[in-house]
Amino acid sequence: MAAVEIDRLTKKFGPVTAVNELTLHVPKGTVFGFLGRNGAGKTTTLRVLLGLAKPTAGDVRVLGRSIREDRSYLQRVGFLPDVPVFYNWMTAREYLRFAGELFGLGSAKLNRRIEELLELVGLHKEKNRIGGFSRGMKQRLGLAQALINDPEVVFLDEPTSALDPIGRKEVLDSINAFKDRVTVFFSSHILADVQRVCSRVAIIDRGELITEGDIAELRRKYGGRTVEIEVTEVPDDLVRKLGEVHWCERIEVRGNVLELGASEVEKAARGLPELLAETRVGIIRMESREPDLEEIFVKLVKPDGS
Amino acid sequence: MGARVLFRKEVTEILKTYKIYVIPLLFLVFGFASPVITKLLPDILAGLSNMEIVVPEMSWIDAFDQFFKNLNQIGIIAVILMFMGRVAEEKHRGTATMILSKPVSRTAWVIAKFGAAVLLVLLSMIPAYLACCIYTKILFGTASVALSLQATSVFAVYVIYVIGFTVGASAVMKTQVAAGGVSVGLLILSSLLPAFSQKLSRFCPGSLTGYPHSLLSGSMSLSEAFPALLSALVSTVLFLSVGIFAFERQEV
Ligand SMILES: Nc1ncnc2c1ncn2[C@@H]1O[C@H](COP(=O)(O)OP(=O)(O)O)[C@@H](O)[C@H]1O
Ligand SMILES: [Mg+2]
Repeated sequence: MAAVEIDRLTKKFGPVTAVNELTLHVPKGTVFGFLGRNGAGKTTTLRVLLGLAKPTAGDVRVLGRSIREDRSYLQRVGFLPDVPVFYNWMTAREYLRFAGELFGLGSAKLNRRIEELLELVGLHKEKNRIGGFSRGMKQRLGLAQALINDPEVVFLDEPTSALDPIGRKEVLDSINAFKDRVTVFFSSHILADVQRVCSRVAIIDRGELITEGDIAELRRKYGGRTVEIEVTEVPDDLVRKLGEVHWCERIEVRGNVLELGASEVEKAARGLPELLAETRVGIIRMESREPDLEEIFVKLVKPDGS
Repeated sequence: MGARVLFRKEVTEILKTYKIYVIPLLFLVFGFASPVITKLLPDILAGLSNMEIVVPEMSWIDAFDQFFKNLNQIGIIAVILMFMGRVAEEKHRGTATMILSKPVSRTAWVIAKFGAAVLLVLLSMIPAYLACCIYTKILFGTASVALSLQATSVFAVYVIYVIGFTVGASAVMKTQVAAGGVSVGLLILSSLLPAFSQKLSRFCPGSLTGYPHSLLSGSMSLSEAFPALLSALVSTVLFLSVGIFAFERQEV
């Protein structure tokens, strides 16, 4: 059973279609990256998933339960909104206690859980009221409250986007620390962060799904590879031939180093050694590297106005 | 269970955020000041002018009249200002998003806020009433505890009614200013309504503002206040229900 199943979800705000026929499956146990630019519809999707906004059309199942049927699934999920807001007069401990009690957690177990989570997010020494917290501290407290009920799925809406590099690292480290125990639905527009913690991603744009899959799979599918070869000499013959084969979309020559953009990895893997042998050049070094998520993203998501 | 947790949070919030102390302090000041001003006013007026002004002799009834006048004007406005944001502000700031994405009943949440507000205001009225009673007795020599208690109880029901539509409006509207606007509108409407029909006025919650005076002066008995009291309580439930109905369907 998938942790989250979204089936042709549409959400409209008057004339604006924020989410359009979105279909998505989040397998249990994954850290799922939900990628899209600002305004792509990430927050709207999450608000529907948490029952805060109503779908215009489509069906959503969380942990096997249709969210239209009842709200009991909320007992088993956690949520960190894009901008977590707390009661400024409470301390971090008081807020976590309040949040835990809303889930009906008993006092002894809850106290243990609170200390565990404060430790996880590095707020265990903090005695002050939340009113004086920095943005990063609030984000980390937000993460802790999202986990207070030991959820089976936790929804994080851009948990790193408003943070500086250190704050981002802290949040990502926390996610890495608990990701083995819970399915994580991680929305973000920061590709590097998603690449660091997620195993599977969906890319959405203008409310529509562009692609979905394992990061490795997407790399194979869309990314191609960059191949770098250091050779003994660079005959014109070789460059000309490389220009003619269809699996090579880009050639760059820097001294004795050739950099190739290989669009079809399989074909390049077979064709390249053949070519090199034909032209009788010696190979000093050859390596290939995978594209990162950013290259895939830029390739798939069209700029505005196109 | 959820309701108890929510109610306790509301009460704690009232105790921990200073602005809520406005209500008990304000009411207490009215309790002290009303009899004193009523006693001193004739002397002050006489001292201010050289002419002979005939000021009627003030009695304990006038002292309590003053008390309820203050409560009804400044007190009620203070109550609206304090509670108009209870739900709306949480929606506006985003704390509601954090709470309502947990297994929490929105109905219980609104009722917890209403309950905590009623508790605070009713508890605020006790010392204020005692102060007024004691000072009146000292300054005027006499005061009817029975009648003044009746008047205070009737006024308390009126305050509950005001809290009811204020919290109801707060649940419907998206910002506290909008909720305040609706609440003041309802306050004005309910004060105008009794004037439309003599016959119906005894069923109007708005009539309750005049009842303390009538009760104190003996021109009305408590049982005559029952229709308006009952309709105030029914209206309270109605306003809260409308607020909850709208809130349950809102996106936050
Ligand atoms: N409450 C709302 N009313 C009207 N339009 C909205 C509302 N919420 C979101 N939108 C619109 O829906 C689109 C998607 O927004 P959002 O889900 O917040 O995107 P993201 O979180 O990916 O940045 C945007 O065009 C936004 O302006
Ligand atoms: Mg967003």
